[in-house]
Amino acid sequence: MNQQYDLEDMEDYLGGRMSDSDRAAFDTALASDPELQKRLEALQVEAKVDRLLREDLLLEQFDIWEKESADKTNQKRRRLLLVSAVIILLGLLSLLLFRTTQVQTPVKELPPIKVDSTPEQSKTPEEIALKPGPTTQSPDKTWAELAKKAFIEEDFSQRLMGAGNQGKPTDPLTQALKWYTAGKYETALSLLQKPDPGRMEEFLYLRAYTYYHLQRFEKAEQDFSEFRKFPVSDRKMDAQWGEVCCMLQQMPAVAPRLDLLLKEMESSPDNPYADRARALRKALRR
Amino acid sequence: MKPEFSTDTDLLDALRSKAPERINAALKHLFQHEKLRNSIRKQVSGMGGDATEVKEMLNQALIVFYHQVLDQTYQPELSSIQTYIVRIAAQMYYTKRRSENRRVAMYQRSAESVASDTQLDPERAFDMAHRKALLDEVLGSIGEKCKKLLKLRSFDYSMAEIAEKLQYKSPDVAKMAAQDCRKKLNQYLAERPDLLATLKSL
Repeated sequence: MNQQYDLEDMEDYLGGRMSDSDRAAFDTALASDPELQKRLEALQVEAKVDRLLREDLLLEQFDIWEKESADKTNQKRRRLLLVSAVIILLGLLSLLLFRTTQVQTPVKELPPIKVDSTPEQSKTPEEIALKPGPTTQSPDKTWAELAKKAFIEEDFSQRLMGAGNQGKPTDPLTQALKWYTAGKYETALSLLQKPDPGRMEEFLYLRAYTYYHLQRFEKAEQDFSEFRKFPVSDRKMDAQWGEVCCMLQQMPAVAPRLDLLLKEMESSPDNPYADRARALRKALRR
Repeated sequence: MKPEFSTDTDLLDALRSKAPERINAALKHLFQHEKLRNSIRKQVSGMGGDATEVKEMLNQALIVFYHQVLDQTYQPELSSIQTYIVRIAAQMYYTKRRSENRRVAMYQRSAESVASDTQLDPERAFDMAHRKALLDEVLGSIGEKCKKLLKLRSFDYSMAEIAEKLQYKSPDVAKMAAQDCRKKLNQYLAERPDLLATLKSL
């Protein structure tokens, strides 16, 4: 009688775990049962089926790992793209901000200079009001405007105190004064280049104004400064103010010197230009 | 942090461990090994292979190597793991190209010299597609769940792990299910002598 052998029996047979009697019985059944033979063969190739199964499982696993690597790479790329985009955006924003700041920063202008009180001694009876310049002007033009408004023309009809006797009509100083009054400053200057040593003050004073009209402010300033060194003169303060006007015309290069001079003037109560100096200094500081 | 597999010995120990987690970790390490991938890419590209073929050869070489470790035919004293796998890949690709009747004379000598190093029969075409088709045919009758179960079982997953992965009530239920699947397979193959013959020839 044929026994129905299951997988475990066949495994025991193939593994040599059957007893001798059981093995003999199995052999007998095997010899007469083609189906059992085929089943045993099928069991014998199960190891090969297992190998195919393993391969298939591994291939599935490789696909998963490949996808994981690709996802990681894509994630890295996306992160890199994001960081790059943020950096570029920040760069653009900084550039925009910088440009906006440049456009919005206005050119510094000098505010209007107001004279609060009439000086005790004024060169002219009228008070000079300094009006604010146009706001759209460049600083150079504004300083020049200020200087123009600050400048007080000298009345050369009044002779300098302490000056010598009036010269002859033909002497250079008299001639120069005539040309100066006529507005012929170059001609006047040519006559003032060789001062009379006995009348140096007058020469220097007139020449300073002449240089000023010729817009040779540095020279004018020098002459005003040299004039002030003379011990006695009633025009020293005027010459000092002349220096201020010359410096205004040379701004901003002489700003520290101008400030110093104005400070000196405003701190001297006897100086008729103290108030003007104070107002100008305040305006320049703004 | 020390890498999990810093030597060939570590890798071999993991592959021989019969612990699916360790085996997977070792294979993943090899699969993602940059130097190994680059070497295979170089070999296969050098023989005219494209990116798809490089990927295919890497996969197949790893599978062959793993089986040779299980069969104890890989001899670590003769070659490092990386070199061995690269040789397998090169040999397999050569065989594939030869079966397509391309560049026979150029690679004849190199193929024969490599064969002895890799235990791979150069005369036998290693056709993964054919093997895949064969497997599909073998398992065609037993159902999807049995396929998954037998796959996990072939990789030495424990019944507890199989029960968890395939949502069986308990390891005993999974064990009974595995026996049923094997019976089905056995019966099916017994009725298919052609498949039996093909499987025997592998």
